[in-house]
Amino acid sequence: MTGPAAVKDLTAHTEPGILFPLGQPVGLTYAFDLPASKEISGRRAADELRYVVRGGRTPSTLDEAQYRVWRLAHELDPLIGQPWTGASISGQLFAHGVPHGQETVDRLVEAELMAVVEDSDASIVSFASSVRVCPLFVGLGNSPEEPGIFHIGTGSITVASVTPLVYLLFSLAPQHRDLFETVVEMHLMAQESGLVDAITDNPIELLRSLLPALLQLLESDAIYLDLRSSGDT
Amino acid sequence: MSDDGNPWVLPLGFPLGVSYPRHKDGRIYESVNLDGDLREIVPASRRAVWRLAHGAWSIDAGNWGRSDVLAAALEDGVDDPEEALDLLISDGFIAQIERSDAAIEKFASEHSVHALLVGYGVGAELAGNRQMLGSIEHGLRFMVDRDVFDFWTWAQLEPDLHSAANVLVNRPAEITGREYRTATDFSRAAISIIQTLIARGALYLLRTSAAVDQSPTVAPEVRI
Repeated sequence: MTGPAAVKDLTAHTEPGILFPLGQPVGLTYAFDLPASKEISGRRAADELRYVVRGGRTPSTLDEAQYRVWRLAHELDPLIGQPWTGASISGQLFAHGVPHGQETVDRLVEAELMAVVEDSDASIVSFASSVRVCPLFVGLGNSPEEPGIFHIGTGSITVASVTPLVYLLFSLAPQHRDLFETVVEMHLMAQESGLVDAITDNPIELLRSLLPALLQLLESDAIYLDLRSSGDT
Repeated sequence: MSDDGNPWVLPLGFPLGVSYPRHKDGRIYESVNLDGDLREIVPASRRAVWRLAHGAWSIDAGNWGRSDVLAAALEDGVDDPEEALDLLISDGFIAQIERSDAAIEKFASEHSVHALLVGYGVGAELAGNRQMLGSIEHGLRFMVDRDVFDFWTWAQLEPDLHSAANVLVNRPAEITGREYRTATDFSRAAISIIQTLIARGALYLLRTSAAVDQSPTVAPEVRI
């Protein structure tokens, strides 16, 4: 399990275009079980099992290679312990005998199952305004021994342990339409409670500082990122 | 035996676990995101009843009511569980739903469902009507009926349970394994499905903003 102390300074990463996976896995499903879906893996028989990931209201069907790339995007690049970029993930795939990694990434981005976030305020805010943080587990609170570390999981299973600030993000997310809205409210609360000491008083900087934690939560399956519903205003 | 006198009870809000104090008085509290506010349940009896209302003690039943939660609380030695349950209901941490169509409709229009965990679908080895939910990486997986899986997957996309019922009641029976005459019939069945999923840690309920807005408040001030 990765503790909060192990969260690296991923914002120091200089390569452009960090990849964030989007969507909730539904699993192997027959095509006839689905409402209208995006078929990004090409035409296939209706009775063939396929991987389904739901982003927003639309389920997308993926072939096994696409699904593996999508799952890989939940992890950090093991060689450098940094988030994937389009270039680094296709390099990794090529090294493992997958020749068209970039093409697969492009199709996943096009299907809105991956987002590319550049290191600029505009890109970060645009990303945060188009996705919402959806918990996959509940909060488990803290312990008297380590009151500064909060746990996420279910029952006796802990899937992630995080700082109070990241726990605040996790705690507030369910009621908000998008990540940016969550961070703006969080910023107000963090200022009031003193949690904001270590970071700048600008919500966008707070958002930027939380991106590594977001990747940590994605890697541990504590959350997924969903597309903000088009009906939300 | 009829359950008419045994209304359903369901926990509301996103659970945030037990927190140990920052409070100077040393009290322990259960945190819940309720209607967007981070709220606390402090007294031990209320914390116990809140946990029991999630039904993990009755994981295979999926159709528990008020008297079942109170019986489980008494068995656990909780002090005055009836008072604790009533206070949790009046504070909005637990919904109590009479088993009438009107009460079901009201509940359905005022609450939304939110799915937790990951779906694994049917899988080649999983013939029949069962599908899998969980998180295999974390050693958690369990099977549910197809109608439960279908509800888990799609109901969360609708703004409230009433809207979800109106959409999902039309799902073909060959997919869900069930057939319903009306959206109200669907909502009635959905309460048992919701209990099954909450007991497994696969779902939580939130009040819709419409329901929150309709909460009793002081009368608005009239200016002349």
